[in-house]
Amino acid sequence: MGGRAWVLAAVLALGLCAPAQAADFNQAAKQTAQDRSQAQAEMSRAKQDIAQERAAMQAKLKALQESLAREKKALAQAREDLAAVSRRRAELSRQLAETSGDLKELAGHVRAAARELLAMAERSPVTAEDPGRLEALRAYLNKSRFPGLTDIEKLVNLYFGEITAGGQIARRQGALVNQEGQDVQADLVRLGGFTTLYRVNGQVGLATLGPASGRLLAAGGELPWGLSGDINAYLDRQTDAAPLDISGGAALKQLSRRETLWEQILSGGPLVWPILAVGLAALLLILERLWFFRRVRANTDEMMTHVAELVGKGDFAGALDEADKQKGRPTSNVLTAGLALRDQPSEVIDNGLSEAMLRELPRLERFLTALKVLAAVAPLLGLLGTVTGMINTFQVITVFGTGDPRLMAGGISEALITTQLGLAVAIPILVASALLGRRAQRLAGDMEEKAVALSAALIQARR
Amino acid sequence: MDALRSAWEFILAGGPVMWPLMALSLWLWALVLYKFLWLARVRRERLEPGQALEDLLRRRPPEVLGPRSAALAHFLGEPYHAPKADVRLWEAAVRRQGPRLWRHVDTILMLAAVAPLLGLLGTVSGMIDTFAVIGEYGTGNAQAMAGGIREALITTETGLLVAIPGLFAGYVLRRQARKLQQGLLSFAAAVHSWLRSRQEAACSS
Repeated sequence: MGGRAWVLAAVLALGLCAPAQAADFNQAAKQTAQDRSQAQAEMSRAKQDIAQERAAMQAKLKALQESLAREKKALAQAREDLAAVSRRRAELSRQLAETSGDLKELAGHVRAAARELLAMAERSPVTAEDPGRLEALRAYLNKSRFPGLTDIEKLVNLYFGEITAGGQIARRQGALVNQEGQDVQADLVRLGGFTTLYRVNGQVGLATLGPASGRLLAAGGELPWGLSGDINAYLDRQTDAAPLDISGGAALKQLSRRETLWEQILSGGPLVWPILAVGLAALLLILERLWFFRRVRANTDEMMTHVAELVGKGDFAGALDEADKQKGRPTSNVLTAGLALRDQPSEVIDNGLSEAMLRELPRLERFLTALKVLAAVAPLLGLLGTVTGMINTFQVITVFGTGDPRLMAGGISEALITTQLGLAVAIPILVASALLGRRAQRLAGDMEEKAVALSAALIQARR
Repeated sequence: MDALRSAWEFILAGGPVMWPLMALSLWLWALVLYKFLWLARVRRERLEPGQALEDLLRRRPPEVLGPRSAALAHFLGEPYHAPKADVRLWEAAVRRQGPRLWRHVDTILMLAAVAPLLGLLGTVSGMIDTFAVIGEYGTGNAQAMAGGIREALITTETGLLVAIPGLFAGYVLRRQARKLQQGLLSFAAAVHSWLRSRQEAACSS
């Protein structure tokens, strides 16, 4: 192409120059014609080249277009394949999700079952015979570990083992942590899945399982009365009845938490002390009264018979001596006062006797009113203590709300202790004061009766 | 046998207060029984003033059946008798009978009054147990709570069971004793007036 343009430019330049070179026109013309034919030949050659090149180009274009069409077709095919493959992929991943969901569920079930059995095993005394199973069960709870078929089989076996052991009574020698925290070897009897009884050096008791260690711990606290005898008899195979803790450890826990009576009383609060003081005061008064009544008790009937006899004989000095034998006792005092007035008219004697009786009465009835007051005060003090305790409890509620019933109930339980103590103190005082009061009445009645008898005897003697 | 066992379980369920309550109940009912038997025996006494005067004149102590004959026997048993002193001796003899008439009645009434208090004591200790359980386990453990409530209700029930019939019996006995006393007093008054008339006759002679 570039060559042809040059040729054209050269022809034009020659044409322009021709007039200037007229001198050599012919030659020039010849030359020109020659050039012209040459140029034409060149041109035709160039044209030929161009045509050749065009044909080649067109053929190439056609080939390229054909190739493009082929490629496009291949692309469409590939797209179709891709869509199909991704559909398949989606299908497969759905299937995968389904399958792995089932698998997860299965693993979850296995773990839940293992957890349940672990909770059971931590309380069951069977574990003490196979402490390794706690670790085995805890391994199931590890989330990254997938339980295989062998694991599942093992778990099922553990379950069946627990069930079988739950129906057995197993006697063996084994380790036990006693109440002082020392490791000892003990005779152990496991009663199903409930309780283990132990005996070490003649000491018996119930044992619970330490949930973390899987070792047997002797239950703390004192055994209820009579239980150790039962356990001994069972361990010696003398009886088939054995004590059980069917609550699964809760009862034993409560046993170890049981307070002594004194601790329980002290937890009632400050009003326990006045109640105890009332009880102590009443006890002292009752003892004083008992001692007094014991001291003044005497066979007044016999004495009166003697006195009346002596008075009847006119032996007043003897009668006074007889009455003096029981000196200090109310009836004797009254008789002495009456005998001292023997020479007076009967009205004076009567008055003297009643005066003597009036003198004796306070001595007989001393402290009885005080006892009644104490009996009435003790429950009131108890009630006061309960109300005070309740106020404290309700203050706790204003701070913490009623969300936790334990906070409240513990306070109420302690508040009620003073009422209990008040009643427990008041009832014996009540009974004692009633009995003592009746004894005082009887003595007063006896005194009156003897006074009348004496005045009769004196009247008789004056005959 | 079953009834006995269930009664025993009932007592055990009531807790430690049941023992004093049982003892109190036994004491109460023993006294009530004793007193009723005594009353039944005493009520057979048919000593009228006329008969008594006859005995007095003959100086023959009657068979002791009840308060009247006891007073008369005691009076006749006195070693010295003089018309002037007889009135007082008789008074003393009648007065002697009072304590025996009233014996145990006050005790029965007192015991009947104490029984519900003991029941209340058991109730309070049962409630203490209940609240202690709530304090430890919360309100979830209904079974453990029920033990305390059972104790509380059983003791109150037993206290009332002892007290109500006991009070009833006590009042019946008190009325009977009062009736006996009134009978004794009217009998004593009749004898008294006779003795007084004799005393006056003796004084005037």
